[in-house]
Amino acid sequence: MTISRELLQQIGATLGSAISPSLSSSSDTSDIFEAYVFSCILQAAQVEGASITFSDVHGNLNPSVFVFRTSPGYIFNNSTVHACYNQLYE
Amino acid sequence: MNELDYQEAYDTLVEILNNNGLGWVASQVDEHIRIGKTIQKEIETLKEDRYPQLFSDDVYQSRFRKGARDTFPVVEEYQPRERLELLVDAIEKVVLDTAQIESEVLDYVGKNWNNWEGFQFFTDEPGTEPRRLTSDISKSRLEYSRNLGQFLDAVRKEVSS
Repeated sequence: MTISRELLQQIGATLGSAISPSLSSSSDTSDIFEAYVFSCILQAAQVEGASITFSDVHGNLNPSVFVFRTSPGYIFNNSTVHACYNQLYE
Repeated sequence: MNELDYQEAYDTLVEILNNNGLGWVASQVDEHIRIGKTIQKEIETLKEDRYPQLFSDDVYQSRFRKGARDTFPVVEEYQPRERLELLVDAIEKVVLDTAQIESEVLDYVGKNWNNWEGFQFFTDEPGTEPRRLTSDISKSRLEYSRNLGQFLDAVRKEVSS
């Protein structure tokens, strides 16, 4: 085989560390794209001079973690542990 | 390199993907290969004679004559070398490009909002842990991705030599 076995072994050794812990399905790459689109919206709002404030469903302002769902569901559910974010533009 | 070499390298990469939970990448590439590639092929056209030869035994020949050459889309199979190139490209897109996107998104949000730690992705399935996306994870992944990119470039070089 002209493609060296060593080279393929190096690919095999590196690939595991080069993927997210759970980049195991095509939907995980969609999640990354969703975060990218989110950042594009933020940039566009900033360019327009908007003041952006984040709040979660519990009313907490500027949460330290932005929570995304990976599938549609009940976003306003008091029993849910996950506080999904909202954005306020002014 | 011969076709067997390309196929062997392809199979090895598919095994690597399967072992790392990226079997879906190999499946998508397989599907792409199965569909084939559309190319424009030059063909000879035939024109029907307005005045067919009445006394010809060959009915086909008497009714049709050569027309102008034209192009027509046809589907061709990917050759083993092309299949390997497709797979290498797919690995690069899935691993490197997404690592780059993650890094740029995290950089941008982190610079503009203080005390921000990262993203979390939740499913509604009970008992599942969220997937976290933070600068630490992203930096490490980007570095490994770049190394992987160099190895993939080396494969491309060997394929094209």
